[in-house]
Amino acid sequence: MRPAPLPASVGLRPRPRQEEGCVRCTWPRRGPRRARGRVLRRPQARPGASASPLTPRALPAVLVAGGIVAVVGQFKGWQFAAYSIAAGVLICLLEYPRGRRKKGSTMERWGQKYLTAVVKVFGLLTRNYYIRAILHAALAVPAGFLLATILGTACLGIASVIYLLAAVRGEEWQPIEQKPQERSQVWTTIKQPPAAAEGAVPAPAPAPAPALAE
Amino acid sequence: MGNWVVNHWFPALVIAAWLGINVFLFVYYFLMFDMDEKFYYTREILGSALAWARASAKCLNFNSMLILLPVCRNLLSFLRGTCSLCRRTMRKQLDHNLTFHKLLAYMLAIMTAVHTIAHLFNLERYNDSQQAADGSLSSVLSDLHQDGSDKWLNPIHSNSTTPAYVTFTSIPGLTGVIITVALILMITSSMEFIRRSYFEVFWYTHHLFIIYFAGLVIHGIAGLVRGQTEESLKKYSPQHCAQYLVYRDGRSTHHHCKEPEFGGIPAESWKWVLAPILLYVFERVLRFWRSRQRVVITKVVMHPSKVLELQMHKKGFNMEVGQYIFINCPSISVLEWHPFTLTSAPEDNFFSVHIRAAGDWTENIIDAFQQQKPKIPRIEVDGPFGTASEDVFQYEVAMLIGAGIGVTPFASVLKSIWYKFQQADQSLKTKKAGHAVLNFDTVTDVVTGLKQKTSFGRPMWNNEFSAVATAHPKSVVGVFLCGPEALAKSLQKCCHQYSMLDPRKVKFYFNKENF
Repeated sequence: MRPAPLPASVGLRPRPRQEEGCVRCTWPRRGPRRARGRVLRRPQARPGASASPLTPRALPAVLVAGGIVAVVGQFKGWQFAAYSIAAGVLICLLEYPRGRRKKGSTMERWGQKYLTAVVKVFGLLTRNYYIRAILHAALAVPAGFLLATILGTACLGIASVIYLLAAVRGEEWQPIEQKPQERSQVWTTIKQPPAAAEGAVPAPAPAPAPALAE
Repeated sequence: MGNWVVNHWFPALVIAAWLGINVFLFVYYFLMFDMDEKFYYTREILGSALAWARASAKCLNFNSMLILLPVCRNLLSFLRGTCSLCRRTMRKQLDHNLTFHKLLAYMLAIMTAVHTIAHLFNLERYNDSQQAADGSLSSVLSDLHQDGSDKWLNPIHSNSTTPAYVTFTSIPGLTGVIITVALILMITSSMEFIRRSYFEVFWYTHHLFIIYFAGLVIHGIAGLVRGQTEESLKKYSPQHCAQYLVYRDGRSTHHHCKEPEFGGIPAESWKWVLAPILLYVFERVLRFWRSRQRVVITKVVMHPSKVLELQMHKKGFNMEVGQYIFINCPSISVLEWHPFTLTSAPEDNFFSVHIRAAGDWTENIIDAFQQQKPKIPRIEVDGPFGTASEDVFQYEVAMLIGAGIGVTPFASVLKSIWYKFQQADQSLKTKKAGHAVLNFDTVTDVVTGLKQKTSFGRPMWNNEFSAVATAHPKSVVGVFLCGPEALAKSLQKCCHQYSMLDPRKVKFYFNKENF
């Protein structure tokens, strides 16, 4: 069984579309897709993507970890460590809700909506990235007095610089809001039963009722 | 379970061996530093934090040695080529190099955390015992040999300093902080979210590994971890003389005790990482040299839906089906290399890739080729890499499932099958190849010219598998996938479900990692 001969420029040749409404295949997205093997393209920064996802939650976590070590070990100056734990947890909570991208959709983190509501309440204080940058820098300073938390200071400093750069580029934090479901609309449009498909044989007209005898 | 073992025994073995070596190194050096007499006095001050720090340091050395090896693409290609006697399952593991690299990175992160925390305790205890004036053994030891000789035990020589100050004014402290920050930045910028959306950030930040390795080599040269010297240990062992140090009135059993002398452990990280660093340097030089080889672009085809096909020619380029190349376009970005699957067959007299617009770099390259001002941009190519997908040809029946973008490796395979048919290649076992294309692009569909009908939409896998099982009741069927994880799971289930236990009947083998 021989396949048909391939044309000269064989390969991925587009054919005119024949079917309308080809099923658009989607698969359940659970966060970013894993690339198995070699993919055709490598995604790069999409226009409109914000820089705030670049501040990973690991950075304040370093501060919290250092604080815990110093408190548990009762190092000299452990009060700075206790402060660091509190500051680190606060920053983690502030950072947890992912901001909405300008273009395209953004994946929410698990359980993010509760914290989004809280973060939104502070308005400009949490929305503006200049303020976030200053906040990170200010919170980082006291942790610099203790060796165990100095790494946390460095990490928060880096986060502060990232926010500063993002602020200079004009970005700010926008909450990801769920659009209200538009279910009610669908039901109101169903008034008519489905019409017969094209080409289908129309149902035979019902036989006229026998005329009543006079 | 049986299928899992058959498919995964080799990687499981490799990982078990790696974990085993880590555990061995950790436990062996932990016990050594926790029990050896040489460090008796050191332990007096530091407690078991010494052993934690040293054991994790050994693991850090071991993993730092290994971490550069999986990213030496050319070395891996060389191994793949020379190891042709090895079974293909073993060679295929070379394709999991990045997974192994990530695993090593996680282990580095864990060990760095352990090491850092242990040293935080060490510094605090050194400082405390230096400042203590209670005549305890640890404070006595800390005061020994503070006269400028090199025989001291406690690296902190002042009563009025802080651990932070000591850290930043000593070589191991400063390098330790620097390389830990570098490691944190590297790991946090390698998160999948950032790699997918901001690849350049990941790529450039990851080059901090140069600082990491430089710092690692310098980290141990000061010899701050100290143990009693050999001769001091022979003459004044701690068992007999520890009492003397505290009481100094001859209550010890040996009256001739004197103060112990200490020496530092020499730096040894360089011994672990020197060879991999040299290999990696050679790898980068080789990549650069290969990229300087001239690439002639023989044909440029613009497909709809912003897909660019480049047909190229390079001297000495030999490819196999399913391999990929790295492409660099200096006029767009000097340092960026991006991988693309080869879509041509080895029998073609050119090699081709299909590039789809999906971000800055790809859009720029498509624009550059569309406008061609002043002329076609120069392209550099490195490769090919990857295990050849020759497995497809070893199965009598092959099911190739490409989801959307994943159709490209199969273009190469199918073309090659066609060529082999034409040339009546005897080694080709494949008698029938069915190609399912899951298409998400409504504007263009990507279909090869084969007569076998390509279906659209999402197939009902149960129907497909039972149809194949019925049509070929005695064959071995290879199922190949290039697509998302969810699809892999359902295909794997189908493979298990429709494979018969009887080896003479139909069996489905799922080759998830081939593409």
